[in-house]
Amino acid sequence: MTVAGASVAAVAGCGTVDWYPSDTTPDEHVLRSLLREKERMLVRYEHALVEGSGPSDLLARVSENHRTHLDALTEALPEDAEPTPPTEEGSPEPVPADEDPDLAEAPSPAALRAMEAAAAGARSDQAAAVTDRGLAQLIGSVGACEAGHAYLLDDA
Amino acid sequence: MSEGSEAAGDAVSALAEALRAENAAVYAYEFVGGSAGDEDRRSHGLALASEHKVTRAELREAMLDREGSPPAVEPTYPLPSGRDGETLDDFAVGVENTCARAALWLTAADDTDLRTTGARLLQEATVRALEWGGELDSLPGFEGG
Repeated sequence: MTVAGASVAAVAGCGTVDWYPSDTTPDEHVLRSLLREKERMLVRYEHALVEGSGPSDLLARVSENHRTHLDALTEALPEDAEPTPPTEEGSPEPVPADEDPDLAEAPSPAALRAMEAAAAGARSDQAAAVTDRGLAQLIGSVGACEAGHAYLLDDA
Repeated sequence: MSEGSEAAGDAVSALAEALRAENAAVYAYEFVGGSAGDEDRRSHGLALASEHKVTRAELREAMLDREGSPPAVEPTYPLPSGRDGETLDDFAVGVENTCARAALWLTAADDTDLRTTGARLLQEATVRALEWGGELDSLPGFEGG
């Protein structure tokens, strides 16, 4: 279905409809969303590490895992993908994660645990929404690592 | 083979692998539940034997829905030589890592129901491995992940 130059993709399993510019594939759309999420997550961990709001060894290890995910997801972008994601016409430019005032405060381990659990919970639908099977595996594996983070942070 | 039947064949192969891993996990945890020297490991082992039986039943049903033949349960599966706590913990981590690798294969299925099942099972296996003292890989399920 094409509406006014924009494609519409139903994200399987979650019953919502996401919009993306017509020159972006559904897989790239999911990847871009994951990359933004990872960048924001990394900023949160950096703040938590700086403020010492949790066990630094664990926070550093988890942060490193997120960085690995960010690298793997970036590598999964199509070769001809633009370095910065295209924005929808009329929508504001996204605020870079390291400049977002919403991310300025250091989260507690409990808040990080909740974010990790929520992220892991979203991965099944995202894995189901992509067409590339290898990408589905990568997203599934990222979600498993995040579930592991939630478990480890539960004890922190 | 048409694209559709090839995809169905892949799904059945992935389900068979996941079922083999679950069969081995049930056997392994019944062993842990029966042989561990401490009550905590015994009860944890038996609880996980029950959880893996539920997963096995779910996968078996998925296999039959797709007109596949579930692999038979083997009379025995590999067991550790020792029964001390550390050996049993390492053994259980290995069992879960095997389940995780099989679940990862399911996440690549064209069938989205199987994909979401695979993603869920991969998360469960990853957390269970941590419960037994395993290390968290950055990409669970992948070799060297």
